[in-house]
Amino acid sequence: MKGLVLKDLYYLKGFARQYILILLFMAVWSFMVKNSSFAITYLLVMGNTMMLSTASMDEAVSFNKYALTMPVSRKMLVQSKYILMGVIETAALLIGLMFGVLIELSTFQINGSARWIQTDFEWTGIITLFALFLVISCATLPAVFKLGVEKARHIYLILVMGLAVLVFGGLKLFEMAGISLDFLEHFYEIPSGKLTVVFLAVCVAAVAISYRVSLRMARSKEWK
Amino acid sequence: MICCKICCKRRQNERRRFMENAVTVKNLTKKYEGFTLDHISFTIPTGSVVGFVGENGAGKSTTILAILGIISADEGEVEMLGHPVTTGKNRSGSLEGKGQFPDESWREHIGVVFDECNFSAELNLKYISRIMKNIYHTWDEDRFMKYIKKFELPMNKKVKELSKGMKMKLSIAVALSHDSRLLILDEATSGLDPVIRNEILDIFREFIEDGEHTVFISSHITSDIEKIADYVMLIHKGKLLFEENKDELLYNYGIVRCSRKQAELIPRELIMGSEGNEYGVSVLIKDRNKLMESTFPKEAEMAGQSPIALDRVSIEDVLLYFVKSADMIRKDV
Repeated sequence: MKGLVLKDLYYLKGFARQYILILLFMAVWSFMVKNSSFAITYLLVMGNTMMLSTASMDEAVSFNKYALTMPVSRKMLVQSKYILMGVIETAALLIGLMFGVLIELSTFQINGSARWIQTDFEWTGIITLFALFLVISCATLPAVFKLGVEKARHIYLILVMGLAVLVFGGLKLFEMAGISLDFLEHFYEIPSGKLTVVFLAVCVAAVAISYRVSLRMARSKEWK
Repeated sequence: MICCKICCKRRQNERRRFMENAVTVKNLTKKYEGFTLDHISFTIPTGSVVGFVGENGAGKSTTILAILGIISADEGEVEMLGHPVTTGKNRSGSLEGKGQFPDESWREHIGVVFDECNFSAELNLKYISRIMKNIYHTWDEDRFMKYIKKFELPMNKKVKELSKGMKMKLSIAVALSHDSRLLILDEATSGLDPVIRNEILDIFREFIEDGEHTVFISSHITSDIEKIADYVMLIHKGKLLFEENKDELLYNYGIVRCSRKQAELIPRELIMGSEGNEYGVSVLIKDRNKLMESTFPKEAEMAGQSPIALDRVSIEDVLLYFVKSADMIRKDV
């Protein structure tokens, strides 16, 4: 198992320079606009892409078929991808949080009184994004085992774009219908602790369901 | 105490069985649309090199994947190094189910090399060694380094920078750097030049020297099999046509080149296959000595205008004649 995760991390290490450049760009961008939401969204999207890239690299050389000749079970193959997902998503979350905190600190120096309100607001946004993208990753991973990476990538894009269309299209529709969006403000009135617990529960449930489905897919898959 | 004795005896039996046959396959069947691996049964004796020949698409890779439990079989039993292999799906359609041979540790003793390098282009040899160290408990880094040195592979280069021959050598080095007792090679020498192929065959010879290691090599390059194998198995369109001792096969089998009239005099039971054209016929026979002891040489001399020729065979000849005959029988049917 450790060997499989290590393999994926070595794959990613090969693209480390590009990832660091993107990260730096995102950091500069976030500080310029004084908002880390875009950076976090981008990091989470990038995290998913990284995960799919490792699966794609495996597929290109039929690694899974080869791995099954070793003391590696189908369960281990699935588990390793979920561990990688956990590592990548957590890293994206932590980096996003770090950006958020640093931006808040810089805001604090200029406008000290706004500090806590702002931090609370950012955290709600971060945890919402994290949960959304984790659910999307969870929906994508079983497709990797069932349909292959290429089709899983399409599913992932459809889900991300579908989400964007749903959010922006919904907002536009409300606007056109003349419905006030003030009720969305209530979302931010929910205590962030409660929201965190709810979203974490959603994440745990999504991972558990996705893992079981992936395991089922992998067990009936014939890697040729 | 009694339990201990039973366990001991079971272990001894397993060991004995392992000593006799590294692989036992019974009635292995796998159906695809347009292709069926048809009730394949064979054994691979421990300490031997078994060559698995057949044309492209004959079912060599399907057999190997099925015996390794990578694809599910519709029927059949497989035992490797004394351990049963999950070949069929369980009731829930899974290849691995709860309690179904959960112990995969026996795979520590199997080294597999496929026809392509299965390591990503982005990895270098140092990383590969570290990955393998965390997969195989029996990974021997020193032995890996020894092979890397022997094969003159660059340690810091990425896989994408290696030539095809180097990639194949890398796969072989990995297969030999843990406690492999059985080496399974699926078209591992295909696409390599004769010099590299020869080097690789030498390594396999070294590997089996102690009599406890076994090699199962599939290839459509019959000259490789002829150089190294103790036994030869021939598969054609999913059916195992024969499993023979290579030396006996090359010594006993022969090709009679004669006229059609002369060919009719060959005892039927000796004929394994034939091909002909307007100038004459070539007949593959399974026992040259029996043919010479029969009445055929005299009768043929009396019947024919030209003398008959009895040539030795190569595995390629045997493959071609068997395949042609099998196809002719199918057409007749």
